[in-house]
Amino acid sequence: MLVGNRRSTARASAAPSQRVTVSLYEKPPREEMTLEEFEVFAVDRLKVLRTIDALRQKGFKPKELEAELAPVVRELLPLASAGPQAPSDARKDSVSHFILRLAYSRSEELRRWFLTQECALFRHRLSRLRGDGFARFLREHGLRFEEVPDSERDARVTSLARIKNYENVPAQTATYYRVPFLEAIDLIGRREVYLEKGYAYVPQAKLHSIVVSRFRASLSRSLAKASGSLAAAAADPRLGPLLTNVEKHDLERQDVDDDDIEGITPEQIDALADQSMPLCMQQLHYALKRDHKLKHWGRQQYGLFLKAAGLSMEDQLRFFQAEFTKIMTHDQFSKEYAYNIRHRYGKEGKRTEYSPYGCYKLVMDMAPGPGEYHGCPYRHFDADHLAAVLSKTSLDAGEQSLVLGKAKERNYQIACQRHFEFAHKKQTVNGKKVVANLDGVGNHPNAWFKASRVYHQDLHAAEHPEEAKAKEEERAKGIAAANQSQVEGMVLAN
Amino acid sequence: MSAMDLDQPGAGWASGPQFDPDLLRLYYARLFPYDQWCKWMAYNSDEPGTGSQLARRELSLTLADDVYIRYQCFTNAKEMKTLMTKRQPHKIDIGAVFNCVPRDHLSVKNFRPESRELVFDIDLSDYDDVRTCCQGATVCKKCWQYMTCAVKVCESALREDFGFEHIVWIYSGRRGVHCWVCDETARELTNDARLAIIKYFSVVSGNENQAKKTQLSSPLHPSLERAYRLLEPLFVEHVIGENGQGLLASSERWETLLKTLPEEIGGQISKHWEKNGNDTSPLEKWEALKGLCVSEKPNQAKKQKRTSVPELWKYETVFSQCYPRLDENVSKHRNHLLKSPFAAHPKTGRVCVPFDAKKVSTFDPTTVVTLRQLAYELDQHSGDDVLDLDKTSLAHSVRFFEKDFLHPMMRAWGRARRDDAEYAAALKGDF
Repeated sequence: MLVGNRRSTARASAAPSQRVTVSLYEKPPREEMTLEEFEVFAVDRLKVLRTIDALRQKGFKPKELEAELAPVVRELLPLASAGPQAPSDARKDSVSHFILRLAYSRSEELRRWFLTQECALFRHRLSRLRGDGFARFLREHGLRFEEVPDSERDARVTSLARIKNYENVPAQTATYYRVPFLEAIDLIGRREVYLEKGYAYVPQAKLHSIVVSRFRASLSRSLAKASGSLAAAAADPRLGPLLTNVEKHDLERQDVDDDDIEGITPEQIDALADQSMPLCMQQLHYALKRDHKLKHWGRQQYGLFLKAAGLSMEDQLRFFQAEFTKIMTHDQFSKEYAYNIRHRYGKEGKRTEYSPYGCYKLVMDMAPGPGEYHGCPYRHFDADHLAAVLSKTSLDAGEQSLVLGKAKERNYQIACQRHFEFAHKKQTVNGKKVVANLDGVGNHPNAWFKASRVYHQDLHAAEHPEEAKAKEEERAKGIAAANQSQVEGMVLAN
Repeated sequence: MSAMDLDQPGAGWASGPQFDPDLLRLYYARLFPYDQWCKWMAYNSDEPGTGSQLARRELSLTLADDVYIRYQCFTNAKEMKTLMTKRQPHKIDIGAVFNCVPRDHLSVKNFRPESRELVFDIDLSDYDDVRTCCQGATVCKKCWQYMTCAVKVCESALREDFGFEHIVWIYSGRRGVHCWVCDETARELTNDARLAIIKYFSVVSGNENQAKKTQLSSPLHPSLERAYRLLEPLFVEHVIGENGQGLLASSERWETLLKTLPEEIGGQISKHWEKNGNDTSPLEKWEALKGLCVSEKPNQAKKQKRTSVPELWKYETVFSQCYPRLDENVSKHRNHLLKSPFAAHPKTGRVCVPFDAKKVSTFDPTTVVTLRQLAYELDQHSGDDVLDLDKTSLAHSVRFFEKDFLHPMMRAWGRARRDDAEYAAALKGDF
């Protein structure tokens, strides 16, 4: 990376004591830096973004999020507005943003993730501007908004006064800005702004949100552009590995590989649902057994899970068909649902290989509607229903209330992990220790499933040592035979 | 169809299937309003041929044997008619406008949806927990009033809050309604913006595993306050009374409602009504319950809290009964498919006709024209020297579509174009 950040130097000389430090990241830095610095900067920023993500997944409101986030940002991505640290803080902020922008431009999913967290960070920083910091920020970046004249405000004062959440300034005296509703999308989604004829009346205290939405729009465009330059940057032998690794630091959405566990058959699923499925998949399985149908997103969530659990396409067709045809004809099933199942395996339409949904998606994106059973029970069930469901598991009362407590604290994934731990306790059988491997449990339903199956296999082996021994011998024999035939093959080939 | 229709004199079409391949063939050959449909979907676009909005629009067809064919497209009404008469689709779904002709979806890199109307889908089967007259796919005039509630609330918010003007409401052919918002701003909305709008609209949430049905906070947002003003009279007329859903007309029903009150109060009223319940009308009961609601003061004593009803209770009650329940998945994404207006519903044979939102309460889904009725009407007037359309009761729906929706939209396009031209002229200085 090349030469000097001219913008910030210019700004520093204009107002040496008070710099506007929050950046819109409009110009990439051009300067030299070491590879080590490159990586440290990127990883530090990533830690911040991941903290934001974790807090959001727990459903923290903006205010709570701010309090939790502040110390993390202060440590890893400080932005001093004055003093000797100011230039180097700004440099790190800018450089790390542009590195991650590039690394995360790879796919739609990564872009979306990055965009969401960056906007939250940006919002956080705006909210920490003190005094006239925000006004100066607007001035410096040339952001202008149309102020609502007092007479127009007074005409709407009853409606305006109904909007809660603007920091103790009564509507009669507050300053409002009028923006096209498209710029106030976030506020609209939370019903935190008054709308009239396509315009949002935004109180000054909420103007941040409008600036964030402009930031989002411009970053979204930049990310699309960045994806075009990623290939060139990644081809550089020094940067390539760093860029790819940065992205791997993330998401915990590791695709579960299922090499060391056998596939499953439709006949096993009932038993496996009780024994090894996390709550979310159990709910879908029981609903399917009870209603003999699942709505679209339920089929999608459960079908992809089963696919990743090792159910072949033919078996999945057979499995769903057996249930669905209890309430419809075979013909109807094959016309309306079979396509979808083949699609799931990449055999129809655009032939994409779909990966199973991880907890992130289930918690954030998959809220069920009426008649639907998908999503994450810890997140989407209310306490009473969750308690009722847990009471039917193998957990004792104390364990249940612990899991419930975690869900109440909005630690949904931890609740799920605790559930796993209680259901798969360390134990010693016939002198053999059986311990579950917790890797990925609480991050992906398939990790839960796989860990549970391995645990039960180990348990079974410990309980039946003679059986295990026989199996082991058989395997050894098989390998020997294979080696033998391989040797023979080589001989023949020669 | 109700038994009544069978008794109507002259209802010679009433017996027999209302939908079959022959009827469909007749409909596509002689009645489907291709011209109006294409004028609408062209959105006044100037680009010729394959560049136009119409040509880049995806249609998905479901054929006789439930075979799906997606990414169908055409550039004018004549081609549309050719496609329909050739394929005889049982279902026609409208998708998005893509960045290129949808037919090329496999060969074009970066194939993506560019625009699409903002659509809402409201289905009576989502009201099964509150309606008592029908369940599932069945509908009657009583539960249709939930659609009245939905249409009134959505209309007011779309027009007054968002400033949308070009909105058309369509009967979905069986148990619900579709709303198409066609203003340019609406068509260009990103998925994020659609999601936000849906959230702005949704109040009733929850399902089998979430008891809480509405989540409101005081004071009510102006749009919800307006919704309450619209809904409360409808709630009184159609939900609480014996002639409606009977929520306050029998002890078994009102008991469930009283359970939502603070326990002490609910119990007292329950006892009181057990004895004297028949002395008061449902309306009087509702007025009495509303009278118990008091707005919460910040310093309210605890004791008082237990013996009073929070003000939000009345809003929650009305909203959980009749606030619109949108099928969110349909509205959230640009490329979600939705049944086309003027398609016929294969299960009922009824045509998805537009209706006047102002008269939604008198719209009767059980008398909407069916394919068989249309065939019968064509037959009855086979010698008349008028357009086929004008021989049938579909004419009324098509004319309404033109007069109330299409023509105003086209006039607005004309105005916009004039403004643009004037602006351009002003810039050049030659008026």
